[in-house]
Amino acid sequence: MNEHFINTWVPNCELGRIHSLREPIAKRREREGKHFDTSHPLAQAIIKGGKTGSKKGSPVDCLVISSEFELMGRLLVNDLSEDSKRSGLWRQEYYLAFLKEALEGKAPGLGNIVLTAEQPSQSVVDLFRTPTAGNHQDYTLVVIDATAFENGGTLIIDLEIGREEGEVGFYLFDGDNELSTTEEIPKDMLTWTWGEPGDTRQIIHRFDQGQSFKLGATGHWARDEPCINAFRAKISVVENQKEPLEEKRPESNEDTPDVVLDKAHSSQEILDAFRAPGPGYQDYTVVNIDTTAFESSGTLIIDIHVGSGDTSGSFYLFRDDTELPTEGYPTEAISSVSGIRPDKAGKIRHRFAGGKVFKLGATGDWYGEQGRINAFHAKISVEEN
Amino acid sequence: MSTLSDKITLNLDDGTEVLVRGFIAPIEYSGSNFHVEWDTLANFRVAEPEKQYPVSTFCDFLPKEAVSVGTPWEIEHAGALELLKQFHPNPSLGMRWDLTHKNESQGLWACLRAYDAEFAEIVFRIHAQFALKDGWFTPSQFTGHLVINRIKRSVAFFQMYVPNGIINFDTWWQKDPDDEGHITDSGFCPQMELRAGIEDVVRNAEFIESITQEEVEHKLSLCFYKSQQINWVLLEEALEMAPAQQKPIHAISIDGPLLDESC
Repeated sequence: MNEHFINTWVPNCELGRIHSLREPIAKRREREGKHFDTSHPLAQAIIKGGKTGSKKGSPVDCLVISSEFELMGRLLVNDLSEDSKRSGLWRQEYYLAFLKEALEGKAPGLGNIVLTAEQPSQSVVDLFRTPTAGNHQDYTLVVIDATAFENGGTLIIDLEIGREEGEVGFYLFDGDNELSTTEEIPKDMLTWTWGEPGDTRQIIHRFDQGQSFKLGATGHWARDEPCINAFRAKISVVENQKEPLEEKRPESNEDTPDVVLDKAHSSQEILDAFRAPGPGYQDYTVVNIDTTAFESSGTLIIDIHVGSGDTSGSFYLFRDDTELPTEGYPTEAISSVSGIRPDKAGKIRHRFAGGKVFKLGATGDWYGEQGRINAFHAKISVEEN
Repeated sequence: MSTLSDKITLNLDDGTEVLVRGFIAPIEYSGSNFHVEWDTLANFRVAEPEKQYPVSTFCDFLPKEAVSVGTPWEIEHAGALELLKQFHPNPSLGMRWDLTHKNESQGLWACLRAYDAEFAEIVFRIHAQFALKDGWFTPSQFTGHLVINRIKRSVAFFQMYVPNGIINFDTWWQKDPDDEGHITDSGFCPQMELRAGIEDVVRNAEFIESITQEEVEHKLSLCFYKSQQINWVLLEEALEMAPAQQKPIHAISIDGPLLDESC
């Protein structure tokens, strides 16, 4: 530690991080004629470290900060025991690994939700609260690290709001944004949604290259009675393919089926996005379904749930050799369910004789604004006849 | 500073008594306002403002063998416990009774800081806590000085106190007597001190051997915490050192002090 680092520690109360102690300590400082400087870049980096990510309340934060006073890593001591156990390391080993990762530029602990191709979805449960002291926002922050998706993707955040009192605004920002607490409507947000107790909502945002985001949840500033409520966010990324979406459609994924079903694995779930094609057109997200393992016959069952984005979805099942149309009504579809509204579900059932490969095409309806995106979840199963 | 090779013996003559005055000031602040809401803490005062001790009480602070400046030794428990009872009748030298694996921070250590022909100054550090009727009170540490008149073999000055850290105690309150659980708080008590004799008795002394107060404090803290092997520097020092040495900073942001028992 002495060889590789300059080591320092500071009480949270000196940084003003323990609200109840601010006033008595300020009085004491005044009486004693002492001053604790928190304006310099090191103190500011430590304060920033405490606000990074949604995890809060740890009595001890361990930080690695560069010699230019940039945050390189953060570890919460409250999580040390559980995280080290989960990783199969002794606590000392886990701490050493944290320090090494920080020095290697992996920024451990600075993005709370780290999404990767191997783990494209994670959930967070947290609280939001009504802003006080004249502020318009009091953000509970979730930092989302989607830098692993180099070709970009679609960020889909499914939100559930708790049953207690309190409306909530969810705002999505670029990860580098400094968030203001005084703007009535945050001017730098990428997108947002609003909900009341018990509601479910969805945020969808497309991005072109890997990046971090901040999801801020805050209660309504104009509310008379301060309140606290819970929320749950399931945060997912659907990865972009290397080629632009428009170019690959409608004949994408011809070689590799997305869903391969057999007797041992007769059911599979997928989460993806579709978009509104504009009136008269089709813009399919294609899911290839391989049922060739069912050599005799069976029934393909697709349970579809559309996200709470702004456009309805239509889903068409095609034979493998069908060239998918880009406009007009898909007359060659062998089964379909269309016009599923946001937050609603639908089902496709199709009996087949002899195992086959199918294409499921998902598209927005003709009545939504062109380019609008929504998510869908599909559980695809085969019941053997 | 001279070399630390010379050893001296430290003795006190029995038969005399030492008058020790005790002080506990009202607690100035605490994070969760326990010092207002919890009567026991609000009324936490010294048990005995004055008490006579036999010199043998202080003999427990002395090393059994000759020592050199800068070499710590362990203090016998009995004398320290007697003195701690002047603060409150239920002191304990076993720390954190609920964390049976955490014994690193237990202990009572002393170290010879300086001596000349007439005086020897011992600095000590003791970790202790008090069992209150409905909770526990854990000062950050008790530190202090014992100055011995080597010629008279008497106590010239004694002071044992809780330093004025920004936070200098931790406390546990069993708010509901029917519930085994407790809630915790920490805060600042401006004075918790035992004192005897004249403080500046060694002010003008020209010591034969000595180390600084900071050096002796560091040696004593090493007796309690393995983490003290890390060279911790002040925030302002790290601010200067990191760019100058082009080294990253390993920073701990913590609810109380890192190197005492108030957190």
